[in-house]
Amino acid sequence: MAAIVQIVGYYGPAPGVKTPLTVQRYNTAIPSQRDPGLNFPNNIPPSGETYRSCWMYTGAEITGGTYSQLTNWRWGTPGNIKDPAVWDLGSGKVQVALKDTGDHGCPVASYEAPTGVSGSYGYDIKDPVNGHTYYKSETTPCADADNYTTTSPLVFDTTVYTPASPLKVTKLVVHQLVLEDDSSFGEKAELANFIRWQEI
Amino acid sequence: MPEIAPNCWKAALSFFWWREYRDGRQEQEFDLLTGQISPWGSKTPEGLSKVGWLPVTPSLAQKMKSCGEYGIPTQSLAIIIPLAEGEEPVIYKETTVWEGSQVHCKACDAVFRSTGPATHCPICGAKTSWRCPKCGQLQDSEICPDCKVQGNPINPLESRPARWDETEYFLGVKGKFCNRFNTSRLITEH
Repeated sequence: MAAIVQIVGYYGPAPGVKTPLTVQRYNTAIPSQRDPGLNFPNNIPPSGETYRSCWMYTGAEITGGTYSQLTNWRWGTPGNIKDPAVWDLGSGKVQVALKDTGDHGCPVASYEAPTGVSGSYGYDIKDPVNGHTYYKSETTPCADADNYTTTSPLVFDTTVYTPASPLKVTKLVVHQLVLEDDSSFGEKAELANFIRWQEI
Repeated sequence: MPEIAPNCWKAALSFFWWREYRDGRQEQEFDLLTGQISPWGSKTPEGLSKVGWLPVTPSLAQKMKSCGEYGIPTQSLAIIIPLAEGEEPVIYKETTVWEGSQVHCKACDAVFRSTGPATHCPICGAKTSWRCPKCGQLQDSEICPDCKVQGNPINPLESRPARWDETEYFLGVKGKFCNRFNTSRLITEH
């Protein structure tokens, strides 16, 4: 007995378009696109500055199957994104938004289109003016995605989903690529990551 | 097999839940004769004396298929624990969907999954080497130690994006211990 679960992202102007995730590419298309190819690339900033991709949303939708409960949704990476052998980000990173309390994921109803300068950079999730309303006033800073691995994943949704739950889409992990002046230039290989859930 | 549409997953099961009440009644996830599914329920019922996970047999896997479920038969043993009065069972399965790479080793033809850049083949140990354009020798470093010239990289590992899922089963007593297992190992955590 197993649920059918689709990994999804949300893109474009609010309320966002739910899209099954085949490929998700960090980019600077404002508002966001799932994968604009090599258009809207992430740019290495001038010395002393920081550039970011637009923020991205990753979550899951229970689309069917037979199940009693699904809960404890987690997200993580192999923990080595910054490494020279992987994306060689120098002091850059992939950052993930956190809440001070409760689940770290963003409810679908709080989706907000990424802001920034299209083709150049996205604004920081925590930018006091242009940042993400659901996160920018939180005391807790964004975290390095490399901190969230198979043994210590990011818990982004603890809601218990049952067949009677009206909404079958989980909260969304909000993440963005952060580039510093020592991040290496060039097209990067596909990034490994995972989503995990509990089911009975 | 369990990726039934682009990035749409349904776990393939090697175990199914089983429970016994103090009055001797037994219930399980799949009817062994028909493959029909019984849900665990929105709450764990009262009065359980034992809970566990039973292995999927080849015969049950066939019947599960007719009910829209994927079963992977296993020769693993059943894992069952007794419950004392007032003890609450921990029982669930956990699915992880990975976005990673499938790697083909051109040296030994092995194919394996990787969650990061593959540095060497886990079967034959092949890894990137450099052929010196001057002496023609394969070297482990970019610069030929003999000729002191830059070598040409030869990578025996071909990677392409891949997605897959893994399922683990959990069984224990709340606040006391939990067994985490799949068909190849069992770990007890306190």
